[in-house]
Amino acid sequence: MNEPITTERYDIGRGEILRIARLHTLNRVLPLGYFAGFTRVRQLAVLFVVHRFGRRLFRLIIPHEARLTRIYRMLGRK
Amino acid sequence: MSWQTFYTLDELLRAGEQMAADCDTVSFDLFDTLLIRRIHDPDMVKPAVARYIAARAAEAGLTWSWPQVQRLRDRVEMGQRRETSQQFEDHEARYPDFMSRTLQRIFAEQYTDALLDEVTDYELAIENAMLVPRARLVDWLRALHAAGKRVLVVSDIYLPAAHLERLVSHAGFRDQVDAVVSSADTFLAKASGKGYELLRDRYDLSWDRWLHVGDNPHSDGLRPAGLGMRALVLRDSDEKHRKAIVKRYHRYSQGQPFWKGRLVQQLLLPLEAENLPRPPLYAYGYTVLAPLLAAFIQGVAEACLQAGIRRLYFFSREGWMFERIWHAIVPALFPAAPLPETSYLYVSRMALAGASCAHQGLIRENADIVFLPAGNRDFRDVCRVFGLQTEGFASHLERHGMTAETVLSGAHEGYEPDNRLRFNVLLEDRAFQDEVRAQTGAANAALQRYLEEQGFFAHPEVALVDIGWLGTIQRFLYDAVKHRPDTPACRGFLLGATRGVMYPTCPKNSVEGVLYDRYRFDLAGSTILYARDLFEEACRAPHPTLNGYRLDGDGVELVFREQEDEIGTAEKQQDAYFQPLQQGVLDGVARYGAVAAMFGFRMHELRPWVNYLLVSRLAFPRVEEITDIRHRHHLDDFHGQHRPKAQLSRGQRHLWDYPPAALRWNPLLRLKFFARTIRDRLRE
Repeated sequence: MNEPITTERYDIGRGEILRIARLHTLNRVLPLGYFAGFTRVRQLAVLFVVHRFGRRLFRLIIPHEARLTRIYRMLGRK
Repeated sequence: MSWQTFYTLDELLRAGEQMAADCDTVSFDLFDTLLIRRIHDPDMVKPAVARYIAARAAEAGLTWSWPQVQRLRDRVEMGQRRETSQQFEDHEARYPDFMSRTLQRIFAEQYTDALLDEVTDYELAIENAMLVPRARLVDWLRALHAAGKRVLVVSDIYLPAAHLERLVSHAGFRDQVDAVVSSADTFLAKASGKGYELLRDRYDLSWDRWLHVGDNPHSDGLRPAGLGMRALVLRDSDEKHRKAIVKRYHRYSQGQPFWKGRLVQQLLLPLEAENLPRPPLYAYGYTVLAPLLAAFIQGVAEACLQAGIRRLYFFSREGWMFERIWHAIVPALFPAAPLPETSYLYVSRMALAGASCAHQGLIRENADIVFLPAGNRDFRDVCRVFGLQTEGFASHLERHGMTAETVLSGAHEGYEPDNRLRFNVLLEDRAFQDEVRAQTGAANAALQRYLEEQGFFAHPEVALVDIGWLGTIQRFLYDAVKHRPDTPACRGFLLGATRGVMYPTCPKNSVEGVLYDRYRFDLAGSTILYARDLFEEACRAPHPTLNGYRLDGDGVELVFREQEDEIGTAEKQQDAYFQPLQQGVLDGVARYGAVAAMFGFRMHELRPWVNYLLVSRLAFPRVEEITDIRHRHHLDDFHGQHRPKAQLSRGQRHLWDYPPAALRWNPLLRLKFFARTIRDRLRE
């Protein structure tokens, strides 16, 4: 079935982050090759959330972007 | 009048269509409104330009690193903004001014206006590669123009209107715009509101009949509303989502090299009108094969530049795709480098095998190659591969106690080790070799004439690009011409070098695998061996294989294989089946050069992601990936038609040969094959 390549999740394939996570886990028990340090679990978690839930999340927060940015900067300064 | 802010394009278009009915002028902001950027930070195109200028400076004998160039540009631009701020409310800069000053500082007396034009062209080309027209907004703009409204494009940016017009033309809606206006030309910007006053005076506009659309709450909302205009501001949450993802990948790629390739792929994703519904094969070509093949070609280009090679040949038939990828990515990747001249060389193992025997005869190493494929069995297969007439060798075979059907391959019933020993003795028989030379002389002469026509002997060193796997084509090619004193040094670059037989490496003849080479311990790269046929068919040219060369008067004729028989028909079916895959690859690499150049990524930096793609898509593929992409027909004249022993056939079964049910329900199947891969690599 024909489908657009870029989906609402802006990923390169279906469930790509989970696919990376699976290989990342497997790579811990079986050498799969050279991946230059591969990735970190936290990065995968963040990317999973941003790809999977980002669309809804951004629709919720963008109307409050200015206020959130101010709070974010204040927290950053502290 | 107050402005309205919208968080989705749908809402903005609904409101805009209503408001536009009462207006006779509609102005649009350009960047992030009509044109969206693939990257999250517009300044990221600047390092690519700095690298280009540094490379041009190096050509001119000047030592400038790209960060030095970048810092100088920033300083000069900042200086101009300071100067402007003394006379104008807006702190604007103008690209031709600050860039010419930057270049004059770098190139001194070597500076020319032509150089400024070249740098400008490069910067605009990179910008164009990063910009995508926002389809529905552009459609609305076209509708407004068709309805007789005056349509203006206004931007606060350092690029003058002439440059913006080039970007708008590239985006395809210049004809629907009445004027493109930039703050760089007058230093009057939207940010202060002076830009709007300028437009009102220039085009005799009325504030209350003028609608402005943009993305900046201050410049595109507050300012026009303060002047009495209607204003719509788009804070597109989907766009911000997309850019947040790009930003995240960019940030991660700075700490973890693994993400560099993923970042490149994120920027290659089709957006807006580019993102049409496509078949799965197209998507696979776009998202999997395109980055792999582009990384391969980038690796070849880097090696050629490092070695100073000025001539490059792509071997048919896979070279057809490689050549297209080269032209799509390499000029953007290395805009200021002395790239090798390229051409497509019609060759094949079958066409070159015979020609390779005309001077050195049929040597044992080359004869042994015939028996690597299990389908070849006897001397008839040797004759078929090397283009020899079996009848001419009857007496020679008889003298050594053999016939044309004597089994010479251990993969077949009836094989005796003694047969092979007698065959090896036959190869040392001078009368036999004389007959070989006599039969192959014409093919060799025709090959040499063809290579002369292609300028092959005009350079001291040439690069030869092929898909792999043993380097047999290059081996035969070099054997055919190595007797000539003007034979160039042949440096072969293969997508994967499996080296099933020892390659006769010497200073004038060598091959190396770029994505995989058996001489490097590379587990991930070696997964390319799971589906070699996939790469061959994905890259294959839409013309039949070459059978040989024939002298034709003063020229040479290329003899192609007939395509009307059963094998030719099956090959055409396969080509038609893979056509979307090939189109996906070609579309997928279109922006690769600009993206990789923007970040300055070298092939070795992308290798971790390339390895991930290989392992995840070839060694641990999804069932539907195998079933959709697995070839229908794979044909190779080099392989004979004989059926090998049953146990050998079973032993050759690989992951990609398994039926969907086994792939779906046997969870350990992929692991079993990968464990076998590890074992094979360790044994090597």
